[in-house]
Amino acid sequence: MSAASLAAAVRSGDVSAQDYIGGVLERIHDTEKLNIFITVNPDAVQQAQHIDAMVRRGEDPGRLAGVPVSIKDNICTRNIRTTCGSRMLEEFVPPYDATVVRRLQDEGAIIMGKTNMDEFGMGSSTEFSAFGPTDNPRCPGFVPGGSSGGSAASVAADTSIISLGSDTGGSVRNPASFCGVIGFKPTYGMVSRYGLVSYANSLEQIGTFGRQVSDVALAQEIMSGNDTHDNTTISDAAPKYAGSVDMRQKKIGIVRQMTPANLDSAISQALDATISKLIEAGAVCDWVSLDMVKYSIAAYYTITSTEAASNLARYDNIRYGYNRPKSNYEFHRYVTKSRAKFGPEVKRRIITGGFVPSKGYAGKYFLKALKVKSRLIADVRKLFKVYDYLVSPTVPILSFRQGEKIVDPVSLFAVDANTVTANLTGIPAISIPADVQNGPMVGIQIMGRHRTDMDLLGAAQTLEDYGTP
Amino acid sequence: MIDKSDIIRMAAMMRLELDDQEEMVRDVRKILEYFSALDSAGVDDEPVLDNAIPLEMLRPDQPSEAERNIDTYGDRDSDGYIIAPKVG
Repeated sequence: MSAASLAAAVRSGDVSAQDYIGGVLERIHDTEKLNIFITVNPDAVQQAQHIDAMVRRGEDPGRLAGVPVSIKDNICTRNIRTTCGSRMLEEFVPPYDATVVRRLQDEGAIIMGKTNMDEFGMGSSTEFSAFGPTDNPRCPGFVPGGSSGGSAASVAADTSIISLGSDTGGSVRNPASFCGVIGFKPTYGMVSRYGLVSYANSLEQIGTFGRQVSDVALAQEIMSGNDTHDNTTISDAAPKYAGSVDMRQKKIGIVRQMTPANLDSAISQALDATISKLIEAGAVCDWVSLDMVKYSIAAYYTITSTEAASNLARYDNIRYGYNRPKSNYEFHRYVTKSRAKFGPEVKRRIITGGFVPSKGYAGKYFLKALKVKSRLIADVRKLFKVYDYLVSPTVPILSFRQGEKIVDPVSLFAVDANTVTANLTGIPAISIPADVQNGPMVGIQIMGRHRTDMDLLGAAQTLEDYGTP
Repeated sequence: MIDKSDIIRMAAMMRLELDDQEEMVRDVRKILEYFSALDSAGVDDEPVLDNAIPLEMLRPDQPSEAERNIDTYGDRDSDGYIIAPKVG
């Protein structure tokens, strides 16, 4: 059922939110072994009862009345612990809601729980969670992608209709691709980051998972717009969704550097099927070149590890942390001992993030990364003067078995090869499931012009209307 | 190239204790080697832009409503400091 049709049924009294949410909780229980949720909201049923009571009183609970939503565990939820997939924040219960959470709840959404993720968003497979890996509901034994793997899995496993994740370099789009659902990263600044635990502020956005484009668009309509709590939100950015886009006269660029020669045949097949649909819909497709893509992962990891090292300095067990006896320690010693709870990937990125912007290294790494970012922004702008959308496989490799890539710190970088461009340039991007006969889950990415989020969702709608699995 | 002493110094600055220093040396070397790809990007003369968002799209660079209203905030102690409510 779509979010809009469930909400309509709840608002009219045809469906009881309490019954529906009770069913979803059973489903969460039945799929426990997938390890999708870190924390299930103990008040979900009570909140659903509240929605039903509003309906009985003749009040309108909103456009998401009774819709089950799951939230990545790095987005703050009042009175529900928010761990970021880390032992460091195992006991952290936020005293406030993130703006996105509040906006969804104001429209009647029910928060089912907090989903598993790579610790602090650092990873592409959800294997770096301190709470154990999440299994891929569509392909058991394989990773669901990451870092928002739990959110993608929760939508794929039917334990929520909409899920929120965060996308710093593809953390919404790659799990969407691996789990066969839709994953959308808005234009940077379109959605408030207030209440999102920071990893790399200059690149990350809160994004949405769904099984239908219209669900994602509805959540985006509700969440986007200026927020006085986040000074990077763009003004006047609360656009309306207008449905599918007429593809006739549209020009589409397929990015050559994102489709390497050794692409798995299932991925090429998915790309070809998408291109055929676009052509059938009347669009003109050309190959285009974006040279900086070759350097984008190096630039991305340089920038994110720098910001991560700075952001994670706050975990000193004084402002945030866990209950650790304070006696008999010198101050710095105490902080160091407390930070032992960080996992291996987080420690690697903090150490790396210490080197790349420091004296003697900054010119070689950090400054060059910023220059690559600037050039990439200029090159993408040039392409969008001619083309309406840029298309590529969301991830240039297929989902892999758990444990397969975790040993080598750079082998996971390949997962992000096609997604970091949208973060470095701030443009919106979406991953939609593609047709692969009897094959693995493959997503196709469409990137749109800056601030044309609703139009991009409309393009995805057009493809969905042509039929996806 | 970084060596074990660099890693030990960096770990101390970052307030981290490392279980296996040798492994961290190997990993960080590998990562930095990967980052060296930036050398061949040919961007030496590229200007650095601040951000992907043009500044005019952001709110004016003036005190926000909360900052303007700070004088009206609740209780003060004897030195004039604001007493924040207890959290949790």
